[in-house]
Amino acid sequence: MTNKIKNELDAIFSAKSIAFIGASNDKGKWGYRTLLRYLRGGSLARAYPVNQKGETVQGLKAYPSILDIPDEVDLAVVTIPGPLVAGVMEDCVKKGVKGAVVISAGFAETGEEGRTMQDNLLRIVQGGNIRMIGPNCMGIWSAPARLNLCFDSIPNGGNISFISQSGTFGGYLAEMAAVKGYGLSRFVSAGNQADLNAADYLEYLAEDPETKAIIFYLEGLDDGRRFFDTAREVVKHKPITVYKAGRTNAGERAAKSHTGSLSGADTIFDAMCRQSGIIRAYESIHPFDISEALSMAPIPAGKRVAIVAGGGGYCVTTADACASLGLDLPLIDPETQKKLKAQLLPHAPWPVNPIDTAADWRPMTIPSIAKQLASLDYVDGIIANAPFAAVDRLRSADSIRAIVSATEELISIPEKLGKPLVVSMMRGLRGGNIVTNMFRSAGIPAYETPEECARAMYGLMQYGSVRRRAHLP
Amino acid sequence: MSLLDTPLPLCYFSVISVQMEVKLEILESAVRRGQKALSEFDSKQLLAKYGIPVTRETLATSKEDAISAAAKLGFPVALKGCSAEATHKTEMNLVRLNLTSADEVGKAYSEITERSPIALDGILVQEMIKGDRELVIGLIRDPQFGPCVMLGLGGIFTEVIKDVTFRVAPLEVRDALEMMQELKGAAMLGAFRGKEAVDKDVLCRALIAMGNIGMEQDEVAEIDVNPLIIAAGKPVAVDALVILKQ
Repeated sequence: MTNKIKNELDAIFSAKSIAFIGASNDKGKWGYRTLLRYLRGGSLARAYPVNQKGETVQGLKAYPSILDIPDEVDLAVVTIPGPLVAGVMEDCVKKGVKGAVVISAGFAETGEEGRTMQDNLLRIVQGGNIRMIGPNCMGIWSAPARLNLCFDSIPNGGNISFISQSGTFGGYLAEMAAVKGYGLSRFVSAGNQADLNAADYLEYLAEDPETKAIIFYLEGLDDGRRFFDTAREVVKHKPITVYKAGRTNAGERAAKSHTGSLSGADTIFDAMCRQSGIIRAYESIHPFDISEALSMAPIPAGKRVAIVAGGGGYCVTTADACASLGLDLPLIDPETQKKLKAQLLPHAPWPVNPIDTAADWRPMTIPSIAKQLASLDYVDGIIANAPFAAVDRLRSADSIRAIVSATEELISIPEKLGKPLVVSMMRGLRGGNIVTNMFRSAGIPAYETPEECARAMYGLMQYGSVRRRAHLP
Repeated sequence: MSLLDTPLPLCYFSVISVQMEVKLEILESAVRRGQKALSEFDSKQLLAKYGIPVTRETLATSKEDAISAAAKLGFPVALKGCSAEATHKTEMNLVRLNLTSADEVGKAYSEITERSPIALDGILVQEMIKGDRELVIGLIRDPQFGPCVMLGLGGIFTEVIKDVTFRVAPLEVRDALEMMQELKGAAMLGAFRGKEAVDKDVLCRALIAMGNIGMEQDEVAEIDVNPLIIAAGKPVAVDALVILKQ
């Protein structure tokens, strides 16, 4: 990628000075909510509301025009009605603004007239060297700068970046991910993509040090070929997970051949994902489950999973979920079986894989077995229960200490053995406690359900195979 | 995932590329005449220029030519009425298979020419391929991703079985090999009931070539090669249809 796109998007994500065109005290307006979200985000950039009427907006001095601001402006955030946008964009060009986030709607999404307005706006930004997000978008979020133009509650910082073609639903997905405790680095509601498009964002995120895993919510691609070519290169060093909405009707293709009639648009999209090494998810929240693990865990060398958990139900559910995603559960060799059996309580089932510790009250049992499993050369990744997730219910210092030590033992596995560990909390993940905090700061992906754990491991193993493939001559 | 993890033999990584920058006369004249498709003969000429193995065949315009062509090819032969408009040859009663003598060829020639519902360029005299498996390969243009290549289990059941896989062109060797591994019936490409395994090198080159046609020949809209018959392990295009852009 070129330094050009890096500089252009850095000017937006790390803007030092921002004009809010259409900022308002009227609670019913976008201009109110957008500025409020910005202020709540805690960004250190200088903010200048632009509003023709007010002297102050939400406590900040307002200016009648961007040209009146006595400072350079890096980024313009635009929330005025669509037909007025082109006019203020010409002012932005005069002001030397580098980037624009156009939240205003009423452009190509509305029909021919809107399309003409959008083309006109595009000519202005392109002629004035402004890079534009939108129009008709819901804003952006950038964790490093705490720049928030879109969320009512601030997500955890992290290394997942998410580009969405849907505004409202994309924002909703990002908030759901935040509630699940996943860490977001950048979020872009891409809107109509008149100027910056999916392939541009992909090029930027590929080189962005704050991004370790990339998610796209796609509806369609204007320049599918460029996205494909870019993705093919990017996956060599960063994982991309895509949820594709809308399956266009295969009948739209005026097929005269048998080949044509066998090639639905979704068939081709699926082929493109396999070919480029994009991981495709089939439910909208799944990319986040997968990318949480991809943003922090080591990448496994194969697809063989070992499971250790307390309880038959948990074991069989996790094993089923792994198997249905095509992961292998190797049988533990007889010698190791005997060794593990001696460490389990007498009533525990014979340890083959999954290993059921069966209501073992000793906190160190699971971490110790997990570590032994991870050191087997025919195991590529481990799924384990957290020692005792409801640690905050404990009353004795000794019991809490024992849980903390067991957690320490567990979280040492990826670093010591170079294999990913995915933990299941089942309870106690939301809200957070000492155990969840330890997992988070050690970079151990933790989930509530067996299915999420299996999906995370699938993502890691799938990406591992994409990377190995890329290293072939 | 297993498919990506299967190591590929190094011999497959030699650079295979057909550069066909020049405009092909077959395509140019077909476009000039406003044809919607190429005839089977011309379709195969195009495929052959890209290195895709096709049946040995001659376009005969007289009964005598047809008989001498058949003798050269060796019996049995097939005769097919040839025209850009003959997109459904069997339904139009333009095909005679397994002709074993000069007499049979002469009789078939007369029948096809006399009863044809359309004007013919001539009669295609074609070697009969005795194969053991039928594949299909094809090309389409996707509105988002451009030319895409298909591989599937072929023959008359293709659209019922729907065991097909696609790749965006241009294809790398690895893409072509992954297509073969990705079919549900991938085992059909291996050694099978005493039959030889499909020559993956030749099939691989054919798939890459299909993609290159899509990349280099703008006039080509879609291609069907069905069936691509496997005879003694070697794929051969037995019927082909090139559809032109309108």
